[in-house]
Amino acid sequence: MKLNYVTRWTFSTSHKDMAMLYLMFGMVSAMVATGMSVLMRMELANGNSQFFYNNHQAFNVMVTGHAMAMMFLFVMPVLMGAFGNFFVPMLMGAVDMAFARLNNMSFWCLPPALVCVMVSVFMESGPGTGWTVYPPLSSMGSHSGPSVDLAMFALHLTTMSSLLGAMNFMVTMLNMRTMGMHMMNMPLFVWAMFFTAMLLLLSLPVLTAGVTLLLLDRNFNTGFYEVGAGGDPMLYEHLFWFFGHPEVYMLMMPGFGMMSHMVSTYSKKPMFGEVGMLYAMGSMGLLGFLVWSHHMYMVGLDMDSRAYFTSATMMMAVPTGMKMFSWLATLYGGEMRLGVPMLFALGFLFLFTMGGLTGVMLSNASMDVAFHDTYYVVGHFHYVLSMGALFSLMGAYYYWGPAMFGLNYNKVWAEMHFWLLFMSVNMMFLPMHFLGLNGQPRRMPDYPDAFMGWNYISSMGSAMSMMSVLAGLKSVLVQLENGTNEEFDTQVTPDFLEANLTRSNRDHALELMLSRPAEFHTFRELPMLVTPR
Amino acid sequence: MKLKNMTNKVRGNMQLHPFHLVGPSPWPMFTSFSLMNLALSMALTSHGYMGHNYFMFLAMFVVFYSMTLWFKDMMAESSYLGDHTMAVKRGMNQGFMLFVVSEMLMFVSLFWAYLHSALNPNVEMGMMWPPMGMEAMSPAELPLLNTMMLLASGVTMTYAHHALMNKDRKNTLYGFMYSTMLMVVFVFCQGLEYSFSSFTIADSVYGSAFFSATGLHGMHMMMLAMMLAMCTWRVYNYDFTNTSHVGAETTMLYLHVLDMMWLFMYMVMYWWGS
Amino acid sequence: MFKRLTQRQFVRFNSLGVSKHINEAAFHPSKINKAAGEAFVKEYTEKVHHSEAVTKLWKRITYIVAVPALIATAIPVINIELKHAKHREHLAHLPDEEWPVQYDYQNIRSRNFWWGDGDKTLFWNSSVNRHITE
Repeated sequence: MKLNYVTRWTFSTSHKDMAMLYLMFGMVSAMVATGMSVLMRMELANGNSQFFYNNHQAFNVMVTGHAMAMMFLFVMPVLMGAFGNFFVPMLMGAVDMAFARLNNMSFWCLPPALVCVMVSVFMESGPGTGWTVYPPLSSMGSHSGPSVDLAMFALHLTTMSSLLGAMNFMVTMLNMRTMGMHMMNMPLFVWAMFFTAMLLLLSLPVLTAGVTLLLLDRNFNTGFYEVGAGGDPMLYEHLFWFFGHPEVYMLMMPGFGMMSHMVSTYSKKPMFGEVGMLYAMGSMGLLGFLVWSHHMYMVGLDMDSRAYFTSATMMMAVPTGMKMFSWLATLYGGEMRLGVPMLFALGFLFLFTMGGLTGVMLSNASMDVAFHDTYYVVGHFHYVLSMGALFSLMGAYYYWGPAMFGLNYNKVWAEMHFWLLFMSVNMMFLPMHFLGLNGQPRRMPDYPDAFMGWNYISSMGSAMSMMSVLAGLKSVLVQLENGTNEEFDTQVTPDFLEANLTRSNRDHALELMLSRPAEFHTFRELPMLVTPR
Repeated sequence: MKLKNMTNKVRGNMQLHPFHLVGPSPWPMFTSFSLMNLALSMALTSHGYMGHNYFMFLAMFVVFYSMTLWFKDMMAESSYLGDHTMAVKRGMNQGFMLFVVSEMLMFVSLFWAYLHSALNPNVEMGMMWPPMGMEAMSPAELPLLNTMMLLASGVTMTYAHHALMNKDRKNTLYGFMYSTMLMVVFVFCQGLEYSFSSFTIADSVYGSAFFSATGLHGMHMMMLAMMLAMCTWRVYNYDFTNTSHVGAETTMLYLHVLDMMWLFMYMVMYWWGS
Repeated sequence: MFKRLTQRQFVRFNSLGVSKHINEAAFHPSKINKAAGEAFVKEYTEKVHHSEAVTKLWKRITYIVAVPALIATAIPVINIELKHAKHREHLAHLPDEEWPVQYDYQNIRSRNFWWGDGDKTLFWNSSVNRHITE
C-alpha cells in the first residue's frame, strides 16, 4: 500500500498512524503546558512579584492554560489517543478501530482545541478562571472578553474528540474482538480503556451541557447561574463536577491498565487477580459517578450530603486498594527485573499510593474545611496525576515504544529521564502538602514570607523538571535516531522480551507477537485465541 | 448455487475478516477544521471583533457541507460498494446507540438544570414556579398538538419500518413521508409557539431553562427531519433493502428516543412546571 | 473462565501475503453447515412474512387512530390559537403603563445581544414581548 505522505498523515484512517499523530500532538501540548507550569513556579519562587509584574490575572490565566493543556491536550490524547488507539485493536486482534474516519476526526478536533486554548490565553486579559471556570467569576461581569468563550469552545472540541473516541473504543471492543475472544478474555489494558470510554460517554455530555449553559448565560442573557434571575451558580458546580470527578478517573484508568501489563511482564508472572482487577476498575468507574460533591464541601452543602459524599468517597479506597495490593502481590515472589518501564511502574506504585492517601484525607468533609483550596489539594492531585498518570504514560512509552516504532530506546538516557523526573516531581509537589497544611491558598500568585522556604524548594523542583523534560526529549530523539531495529532476531532490548517468562513463545500478549513495527494493516487474517494449552 | 465452486484463490486475495477497512478520507479533517472556524468566528462575532455575522454563517455552512460530503461517502459505501457487512452494520448500530446514550445524558443535564431551580425556587423570583408574574404556556393547547404529532410520528415510523422489512416499497415510502411531514410541522409549530410566547429566553431562569431544553430538542428535531427526508429519498432511490438499511434503523431509533424525550419534557416542563 | 483468562494464548496466521488456506475450496461440501443455513433462511422468510401482517396493522393504526387523533386535537387547538391571535392584537396596542409589572429577573440584559439592535432575543415578538426601561 503506497500512500502519498499528505494523504497518509492528514486523511489517515489507520489507527496506528493516528496514534503517532496523537503522540506527537501530545508532546507539543505537553511542552506548552510545562512551560506554563514553570512560569507559575518561577513566579512563586519567592515572595512578592517575580515574573508577572503584579499582574495576578496573568498568573491565573497560566493556571487555566496549564490545566487545560495538560489534561485535555496532553494526558487524554496520549493515554487514550496514542496508546489506546495503537494497542486496543492490536491486543484484541481487531483489524482497526470500528469507525476509522471518526477516529481521524477525534484526532483533528484536538489541534483546533489547542488553537482555541492558546487564542483564549492570549486574547485580551485571558481566562483567569482555572480549569473549573466557575461562575460568577466566569460570567460576563468578571470576564467580559472572548477568552472564556474560547476556552469553552476548546472544551467543546476536546469533548467532541473524546466522545467520538469513546464510542469508537466501545464499539471496537464490543464488535471487533477476534475469534475465540470473549469480553472476559480481553487484556486488562483493553478493559481499562473500556471503562474509560464508558466514563467519557456518560460524563462528557454533562460537561457539554454545563458549559453550554454558561455560554448562554454569557452571550444570550440567560439566567442559569445568575442568582438575580432565580438561577444558582451551584448548578454549574454540580454539573461540572459530575463530569469533573469521572474525568480524573478517565485520566487514571488507562494508566491502571498499562501498569498491570508492565508489572506482570517485569515480574515474570501473570497478573495476580486479573478478574479482581477488572471488577475493581468497573466499581471505580461506577463509584466515580457517585462522589462528585466532595469537590464542593465548602459551598454550603447540607450536613447529610457531606456525610454521604464523605463515606462514598472513602469507599473509593477499596477498589483502589484492591488494585494496589494486586500489583504488590504480582511483584511478590516474582523475578523482578528493573527495566526502565518497571522503574516507572514502581515509581507509580509508590507515588500514586501517596496521592491516594492524601486523597483519603481530603475525602473527609470535616478535614476538608482546612484543606479546601489550599496547596494541599494541589499537592494531592499532582501526586495522582503528575506521578500517577504521567508515570504510567512514560512507562508505557518505554514499554510499548519499541513495538510502536520498531526502535529501541537508549537505556542510559531513559533511566536518566526517570530519575530526574522522579526527583523533580517529588521535590516540586511534596512541599506543597506542607504549604497547604499551613494554609497557603491555591491560585494565588503571592504569599506571606513565612511560606518562602518550601515554595523555593518547590520552584527548584520545577526547574529540575525542565531538565527531566530535556532528558526525556533527548531520550526520544536518541531512540528515533539510533534505534537498533536492524538486529531483528537477537533483540536483547526491548527488554520486555528478555524479561519474559516464555521468551520463545510469548503468545498471550498479542502486541508482542507481532513484527515491530507492525504492518500497516496489522492483521490480514485475524489471529485466534485458543483455549488453555 | 454457483458459489460452491469459488475457491480461496479468489477469496484469499480478498479480505479475510468481515470488517470494513475505510480508505483515507479528507472529510474528518475538513469537518473538524470547519468546527474550529465556527468556534473562533462565533466567539469573535459575539464579542464584536467581526463586523457582521456572515462569517459565522459561512462557518456553519462549511460544517454542514463537509458533513454532507462525509455522509455521501458512507451512503456510497453502504449502497453501492457493499462494504457494510453484517458485522459492520452491527457495529454501526451499536455506535449509534452509544451516541444516543450520550445525547440522553445531555438532556438529563438540562432537566437537572430545570429541576434545580424548579424544585426550590429561590427568593429572588418570589419562591414560586413559574416565577411571579410570568405566564407559562398552557399544556392543553399547541404543545398538546405537538405531542400528538410526535406520538403519531412514532406510529407512522413503525408502519414504515415493518413495510421496509416486508419489501413493501409503497408503504415504506408513505411511512417515511408521513414521518418527515410530521417532523417538519412539529418544528414549524414549535417556531410558532416560540414566537407567540409571552416570555423570552432572557426572562428569569424559568425562560432560560424552558427555551434551552425545548430548543435543544427542537434542534434535534430539525436534524431528525433532515435524516427522515434523507431516508425518504433513499427509499425512493432504491438505496435500502429489507435487510440492509442502517440509515433507516438509526433514524428510527433516534425518532423514538427523541419522541420519548419530548414526552418527558411535556410532562415536566409544560404540565408539571406550569 | 478465569483460568482461561490468565492463560490466554493466541495463534497467529501469516500476516503477510495471502492466506495459507489459499488452495482450499472456499465452500467445501464438508464445511457447509446445512442446518445453520436452512435455519437462517427460515428465520429470514419468517421475519419477512411476519412483517406483512404487522405492516397492515400499523397502516391501520396510522389511518384509523393517528390521523383522527391528530385532527381531533388540531381543531380545538386551532380555535384557541385564533382566539390568542386576537388577544395578541389587543396586547400589541397596550400602552407601556398598562403592561404587566416587570420584575428584576425578567428581561435580563447583562450585556447587549450581539445581533440586531442588541435588545431583542432571537424569537422576539413585539406584540407579546416588551422590554420596558425607565
